[in-house]
Amino acid sequence: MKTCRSGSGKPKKAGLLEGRMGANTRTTVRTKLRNAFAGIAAFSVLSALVGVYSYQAVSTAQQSIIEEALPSARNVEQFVEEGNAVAVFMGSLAAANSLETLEERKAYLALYEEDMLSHLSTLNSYPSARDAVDELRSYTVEIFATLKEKTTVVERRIRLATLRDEQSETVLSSGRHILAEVLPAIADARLRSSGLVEQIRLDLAGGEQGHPEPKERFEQLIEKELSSLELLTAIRFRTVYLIDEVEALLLNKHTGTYAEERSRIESATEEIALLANELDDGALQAVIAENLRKISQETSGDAGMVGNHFAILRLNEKLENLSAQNRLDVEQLRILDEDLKKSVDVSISNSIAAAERSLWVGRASLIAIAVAAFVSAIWVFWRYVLSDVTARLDRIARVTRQYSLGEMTEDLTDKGNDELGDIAGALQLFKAYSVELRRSNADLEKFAYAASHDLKAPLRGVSNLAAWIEEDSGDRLSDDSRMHLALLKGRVNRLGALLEGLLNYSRAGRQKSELRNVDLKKSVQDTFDLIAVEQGFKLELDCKVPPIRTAEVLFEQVVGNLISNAIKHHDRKQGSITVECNPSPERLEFRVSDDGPGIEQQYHERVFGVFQTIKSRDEVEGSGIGLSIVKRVLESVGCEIKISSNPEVKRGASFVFTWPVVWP
Amino acid sequence: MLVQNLRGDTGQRLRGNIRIEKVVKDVTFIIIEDDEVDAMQLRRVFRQLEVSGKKVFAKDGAEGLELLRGHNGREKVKKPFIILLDLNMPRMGGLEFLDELRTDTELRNSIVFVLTTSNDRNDRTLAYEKHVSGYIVKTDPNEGIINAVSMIDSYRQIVSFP
Repeated sequence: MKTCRSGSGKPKKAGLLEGRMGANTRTTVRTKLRNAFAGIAAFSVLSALVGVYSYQAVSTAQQSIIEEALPSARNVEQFVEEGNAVAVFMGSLAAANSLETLEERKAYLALYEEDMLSHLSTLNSYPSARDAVDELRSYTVEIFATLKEKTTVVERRIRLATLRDEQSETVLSSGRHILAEVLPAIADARLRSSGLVEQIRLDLAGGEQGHPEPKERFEQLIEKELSSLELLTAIRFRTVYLIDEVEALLLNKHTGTYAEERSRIESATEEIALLANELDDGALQAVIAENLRKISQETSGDAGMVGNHFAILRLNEKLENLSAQNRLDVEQLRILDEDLKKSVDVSISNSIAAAERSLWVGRASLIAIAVAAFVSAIWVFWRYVLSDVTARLDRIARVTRQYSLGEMTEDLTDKGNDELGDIAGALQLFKAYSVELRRSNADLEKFAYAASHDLKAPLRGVSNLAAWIEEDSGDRLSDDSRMHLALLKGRVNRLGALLEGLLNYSRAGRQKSELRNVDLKKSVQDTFDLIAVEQGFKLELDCKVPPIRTAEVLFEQVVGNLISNAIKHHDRKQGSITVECNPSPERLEFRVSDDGPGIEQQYHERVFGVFQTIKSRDEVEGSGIGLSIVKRVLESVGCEIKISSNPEVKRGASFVFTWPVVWP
Repeated sequence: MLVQNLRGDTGQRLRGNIRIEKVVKDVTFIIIEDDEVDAMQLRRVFRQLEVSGKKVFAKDGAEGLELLRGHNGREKVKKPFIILLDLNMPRMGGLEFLDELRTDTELRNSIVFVLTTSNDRNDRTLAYEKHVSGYIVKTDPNEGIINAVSMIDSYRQIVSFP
């Protein structure tokens, strides 16, 4: 025979939950999530700030290109342009004829100088261009200094030219004036001469002898008129010569040096003066003398016309030299410009490269920061939410699901000091209780089995032995002994029934039963037929319920116990049992009524107790288990049972119970 | 009731007027049962049905094996024999005994009928897997025992033994 195992102790429960709620180390899930979000938000803000910073860096780089590199290029362009313009302008400077023009051009040059030098100082901000700029500056300064010199020279030339022109004008007009006087005088003299010649001829032709007049006339002619004519002609030629010389001089067609030219003109003037001195005509002489005086005045000295003219020539030469210098300088400037352009281009490329680099760096750092922020956010999320919260939540959910399905193998060890930890702790407790319950049930099952098997064996033995005694010595027994034996058998049977009842009771409500589509009406009818066979009872069935999916075995257990109870406790040999059924959405309502003696109010509760009978077992052989089994089964599916019976008023008893439509 | 059964149908006795050749074959019955009263019951039934043959009793599987092998000072049971086996016994239960039996080269072809109170499906399956000739459940009103023994006796007479 096997012995029953006793149950083990209760699980530890006190203090488990309390221990988790230590105030100082508790960080709730809410706090963790909040921290996680705060962390992520902080990283987002940080990355946004870095983004802004990067953007700033990029736009600064961009700006530097726009503000520095490009302007410097422009500066160089302009410088070069201006240089070219100055080169062109230089020619016109030399060609200036008037002081106003000269002033204008001087002003232009000043502007150019200012601009070019300012461009150069702007370009000086580029370290790579600095050397070039210095050289350029020296050349530029050189050029403009030369130009200033030129200007001075040109100015002087203009002045001298003006003066010389005035002088030459005077000289020429004087000369012409002389001619203007002399030519008519010549004509007159010729006329007179030819008159005289005519007269002489006439005289000679008249032949008057001893006429003293032709010889006088002849003498007059030769001495006066012809010599006068000669003189005047000489003056004329000399004056023309002078004028020619002056004109040639002015046209730069002269051939001699300054000294030669001057002496030519002076000697010409002198000769004319000498010739004029011999004139008879006083007026003419005076005019000529006046004009000669003017001419002399204008041509004498280094500041005279010739002097000025030659000074101008010298100035032109100087200008030529200065221009040549300028040209050289300009050429050099051009070369340096090229160099400068190149170096500025290099600077610009460097700037652009630097800007691109900073752009790239900006972009890269932006991406890096974004990635880092993202990764950090992920890490924060991972660390604080996923691993700490979600993972634990998943685990708790998974294990809870397992527990709900009856799978109690896994332990839920969660050490977190927060809401999840509390839940885990509570679940552990429930698991412990559940495991305990299971074990208790298992123990009960084993006990029931043991009871059923091990207790029944000796019972069977007793029953057999009693029967054998009766068989073997039935005739030899006294009446009393026979009665005793009968009672013995009865008691043994009762014990067997009680045992069976106990076993059924212990099983009732704990068995997993198969669900099938059951026609409840038929089920009731079948159960009745099985129990009430040949017993004079009839069944009235009023069941308006369609087939439902339910545990047929349990249903029949309930109905069967109620029907057999009704029959067993009926005081008459015949009777009727009514089973009604009313559907409602969640529960079916059954009413099992009989027309037996009924149950008094005071016993309505007691009849459901284990081994409780109303009549003694000698009157009605019943284990007293049936109704308690019914109650247990119904309770296991969440239903209930009530009695409605009042024997003082009316016969009969009704048992009303509910049955689930949807199996729990 | 038992008396009535004896007078009434006992299968072997009354089969109308057909005479049955009684084959005289001495088969030993080895009853392995721990409950004294159950063993007693079997003795009674054997007697009442006048079943011939030696009846040997063992209290558990181990003792049964000793009898079959002739160990521990027991006299070895000679073939042919039929074993009536209970399942729930101390020391060595019925199924354990069957395991031993079926691995023993000499004993593996023994004829075994299981006579048990256990209506467990598992027990039944295992027993048949261990090639029992029949699984008989002892019910509480045990009139069935008489039919069972009668059947076994008929078996003994009709069936050829290995």
